[in-house]
Amino acid sequence: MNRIDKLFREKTTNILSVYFTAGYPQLDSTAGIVRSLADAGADMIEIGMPFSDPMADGPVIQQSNQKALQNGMNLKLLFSQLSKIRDEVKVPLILMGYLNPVMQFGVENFCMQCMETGIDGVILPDLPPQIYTEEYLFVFNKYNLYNILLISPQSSAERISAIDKISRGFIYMVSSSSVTGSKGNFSEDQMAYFKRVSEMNLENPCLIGFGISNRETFINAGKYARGGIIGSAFVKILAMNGTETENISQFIKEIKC
Amino acid sequence: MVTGRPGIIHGSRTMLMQTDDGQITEPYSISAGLDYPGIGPIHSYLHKIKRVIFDNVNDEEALEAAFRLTLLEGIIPALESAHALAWLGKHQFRKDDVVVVTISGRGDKDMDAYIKYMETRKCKKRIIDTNTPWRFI
Repeated sequence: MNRIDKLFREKTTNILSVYFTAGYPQLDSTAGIVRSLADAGADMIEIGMPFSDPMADGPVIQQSNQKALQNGMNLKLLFSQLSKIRDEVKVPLILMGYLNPVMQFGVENFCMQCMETGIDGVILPDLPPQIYTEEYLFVFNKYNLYNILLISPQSSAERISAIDKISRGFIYMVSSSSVTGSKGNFSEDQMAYFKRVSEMNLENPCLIGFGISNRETFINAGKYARGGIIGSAFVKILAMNGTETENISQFIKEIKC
Repeated sequence: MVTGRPGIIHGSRTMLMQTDDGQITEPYSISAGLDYPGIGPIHSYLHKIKRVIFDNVNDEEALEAAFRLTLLEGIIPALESAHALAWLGKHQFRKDDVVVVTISGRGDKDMDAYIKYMETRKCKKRIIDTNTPWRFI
């Protein structure tokens, strides 16, 4: 069974997924951060594939993408850094990034490497559902790789239902029509959108991402979805002084306490 | 078109300036409107079926062409369109050729670049030949 399905079967509430950018702050930080996150109790980990133009991301993740590219990160290196990761880490692993580097790497080659590495799912915000269905769904299925699709406050009920039909694993519920990063608490409009989607009784579970930065926003996300995804707030922690493992463990503890 | 290959940016699959890893490379142009690593997908298609020839001119050629149109017609073109005007000066046409140049934007937005260029070219004397206005002399 795909580890994402297993997670959602075993844990019903407050699932915590954490994003960081591969190759940041150091080129070889990647595997260590994955291990520390899993040890600290993150339920799922999203590993960012750095891109020169990360159009869905706010300043914090943009900057980490740039630094990672300067450090020399690329897909080939990422797969080699993660080649032994499944010896130690059991939680679902997701690769998040943008379509062009994947396309240049070769979509089939990418899916095959994901399977060999033990990657369970992929998030590509600039891959439209229709193109995915027409051109890539077959390849993803062949390698049992889940493509996680996104919905936003702009998505109509019709579109959300259509996305639900072709989704596997979970649906990434983008909290606002904006880029990643902290924006304080959720507004009433955002809450109304969360409620609207939760009442649709979708087949796939939802996780809320974008703007989840602390315990309060995480708990709020848990009221309307199965949990939340934290990115920018965690990437900031990686830039802090001190032992990386301790900072990571402290951060996760504060969110989950 | 010259250095790009198919890629995906901002929701379009088109000819794109990029590295082997698919990272977008930073383009350069003196005009903001041409400073983009991609091109509209329709242009990419027209290029592919060889319906349209895409070419380029350098900064100085574009700036000279902008001054020429301003002097001859009193129209200050935008730097983007000035590239097309410069191309005219580099090509021969038959008498019955129909030539259309789109002057798509206003040059007042590019005044800083024009003033800067005017200062650097002050020392050079240019003569405008009004009989063959598009030929460089």
